[in-house]
Amino acid sequence: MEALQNLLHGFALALSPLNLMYAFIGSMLGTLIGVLPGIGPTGGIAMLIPLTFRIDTTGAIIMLAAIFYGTMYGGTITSVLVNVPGEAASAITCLDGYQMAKKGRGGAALSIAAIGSFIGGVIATVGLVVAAPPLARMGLRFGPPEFFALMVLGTSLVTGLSGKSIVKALIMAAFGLLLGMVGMDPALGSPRFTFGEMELLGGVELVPMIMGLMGVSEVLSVVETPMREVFLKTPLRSLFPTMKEWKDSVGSIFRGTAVGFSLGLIPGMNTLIAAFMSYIVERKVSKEPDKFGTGMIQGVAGPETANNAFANAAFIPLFSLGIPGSPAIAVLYGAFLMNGVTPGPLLFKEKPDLVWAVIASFVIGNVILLILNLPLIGMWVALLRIPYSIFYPLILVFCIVGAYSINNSVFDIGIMALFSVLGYVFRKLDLPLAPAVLTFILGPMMEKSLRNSLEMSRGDFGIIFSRPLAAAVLAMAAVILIMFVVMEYLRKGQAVREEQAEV
Amino acid sequence: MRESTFMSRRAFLKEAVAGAAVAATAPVLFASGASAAAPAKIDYPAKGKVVNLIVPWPPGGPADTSVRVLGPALEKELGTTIEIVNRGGAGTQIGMTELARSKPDGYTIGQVSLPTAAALYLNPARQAIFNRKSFQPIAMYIDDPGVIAVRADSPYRDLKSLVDAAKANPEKIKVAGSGVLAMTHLQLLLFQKEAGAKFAIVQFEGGAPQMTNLLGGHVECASFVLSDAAVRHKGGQVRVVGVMAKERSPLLPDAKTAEEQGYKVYFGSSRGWAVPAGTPKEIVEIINGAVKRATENAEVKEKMERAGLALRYMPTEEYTKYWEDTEGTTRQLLEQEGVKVPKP
Repeated sequence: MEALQNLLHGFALALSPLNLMYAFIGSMLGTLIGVLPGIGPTGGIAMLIPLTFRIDTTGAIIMLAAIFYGTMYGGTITSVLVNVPGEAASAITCLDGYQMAKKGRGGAALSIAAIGSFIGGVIATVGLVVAAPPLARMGLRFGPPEFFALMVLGTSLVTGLSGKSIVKALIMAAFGLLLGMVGMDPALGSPRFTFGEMELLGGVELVPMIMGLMGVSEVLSVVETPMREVFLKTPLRSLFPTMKEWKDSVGSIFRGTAVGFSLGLIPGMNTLIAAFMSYIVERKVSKEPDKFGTGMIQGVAGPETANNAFANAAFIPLFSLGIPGSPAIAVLYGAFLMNGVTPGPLLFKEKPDLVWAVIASFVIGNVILLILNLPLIGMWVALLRIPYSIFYPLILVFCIVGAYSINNSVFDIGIMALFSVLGYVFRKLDLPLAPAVLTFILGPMMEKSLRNSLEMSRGDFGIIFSRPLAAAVLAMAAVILIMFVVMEYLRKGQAVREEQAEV
Repeated sequence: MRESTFMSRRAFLKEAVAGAAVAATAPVLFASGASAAAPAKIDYPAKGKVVNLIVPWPPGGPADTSVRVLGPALEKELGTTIEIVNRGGAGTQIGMTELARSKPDGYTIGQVSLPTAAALYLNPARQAIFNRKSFQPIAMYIDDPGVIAVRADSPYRDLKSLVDAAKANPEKIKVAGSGVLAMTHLQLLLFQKEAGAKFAIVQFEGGAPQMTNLLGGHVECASFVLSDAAVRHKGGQVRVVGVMAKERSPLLPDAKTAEEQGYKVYFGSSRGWAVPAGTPKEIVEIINGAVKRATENAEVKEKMERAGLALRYMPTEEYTKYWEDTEGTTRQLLEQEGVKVPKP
């Protein structure tokens, strides 16, 4: 098969010492950017672009791409070990990952996350090799009505994030929706709920909000209880997952790959949605959904695999059609252009060497990241030996600097502070945080795609139902919703019958 | 009452001392003023002092990219370290506000995007604390004309076919915009008026979703800045059917202008540099010269062309007039759209 030949040739090129070095540097930088709270792949790549001007084109592309998917690996570390999301996409990993760390299974969580990410990334790259153009064209079929349908589907799944109380989850979902309204009205271009604050014209900035709501609020609640010494004494062998943990994760990894990969093909999506959706899927197919949030390995394996599969799949529309699907990829697109590479259908024809070397380097990069991260897990876990009185203030410092670094804005630090207080209060009230984050993201996307759909149809709502793909997605949403209700009903019925049988 | 006399005596003394000081230094000032008939050697930029370039966009977009390409050359021409400061948000309002509030000493220079900035400060809903008079324009370095493009396999091969279709089906031909009151929107309004046709404007957020939806066939055409469409026009995925400028762009020599096809529409986006109003003329001249030489740098030209950015240098006087004219057109268009622009 020609593709296989090309791929092997690409490997030969990618394995040259120089290109290996670029892949290594990129992976390291990416991991670092992921670990440091605040600056994410978009800003990080943009600032590192000038680095690549001095090196050859292939090496530059390899390095930039490695930075991108490297950030997906790094973000996990702080989420699991400290419950502070290093990166927006890792926010959902906090839920179960941190609980695992508290039980002394932090190393295992990180290992599974790394391996799952590797598998997800490699499979996504295989998809790129085998079927890039048709897959990319599929992604293009998602116009505003289809997007709207997807958002409806996503939002209806928010109950998958609820803890014990669906009502509380819905309250937080509503809160997230309201929060998403702050900013500019997409159709009128005028400020909405900004209270005259110019800094809010772009809406509440996502990363400081998540860092405050989920991260710093955790620090605040930890501070009020006596320092726990539980996971300082973790023996080294338990850094590796047990057989049972492996078995439990396998399904999650493949499901996560499927979710992340499919979402990565759709321009306009982002990694956070992929991770959240994977978590929801895991909860819904699990036999013990109520145990989620207490340290279920599936809640780590799925989302972490999904966000890596997403990151690698996002290259498919980029390479085969030249479509950047998300802001980070758009930055990569610009970087490619400046280095003389024009992503698009002609790329495979004009510069096959480059393309295949880069694709091969994706696999190599994932391997490097795995090798880099696995042994380092011991080091990261050892960081927890630092006395909490030093450790947590350090985390706070990183969060503050991180929040500032996104937009060089002190206002964002204020946002983070505000949401840390809110998050602390919500935790006390036992209100789940994840639903608010999900609707905060999905809400505005839903509104914009609905508005665009109506602009296309000049006010006719029927456009959402008359387009086949959109109608299909909506039907799927309806079916899933009904299925969940039925399943819930059946399970409750089962529980009641069991109770009665015992009596 | 005794207090106030006491204070006023103190105040009087203060004034007296100040007056004496001024009287003492006045001759010195006059002397240096006299010797400034021959141009005084202004120490700008001072050795070791950093010049901040405020980019009112988040890192990674085309505006930011253009600065990162120009940056190293500008640094060389100015002869001092440059630091690029991203102050993105609120469609350049945050960055422009910071520029307006900076000291007019030449150590803070800001990138200005027109007509974006004008549409912003003319719109009372935005409550901008600045306007044109808050700034001293220096020079333009990028001139990005507006274009209308279709997918390469589209049945519409020129502006006329699009206009005919729109006239036959008012508000049915979908055109992708990049934001309400953005340049791409304003350009469409001008074009609709000139052509006498109404399209269905679908507002996306920025150039990327515009392109995605055009390529996906969800809209029939799109209103771009040239730089957003150039790379793909050359790559054969889209066709630019009209350029809203007086002459064809050197980046896309085969794309006809709107004027050639009978539509007199001239509009586009530009990027330039400005400093806070009140900056000394000599400093403005120095920066102006540095920008000019930086735009002539071969490496800069090459990278800009690869990225599809239309480099164009326009000196201070011309740029100042351009800003004024653009503001005038923008004002008209905003008022047309119902924005209550305050009288100048």
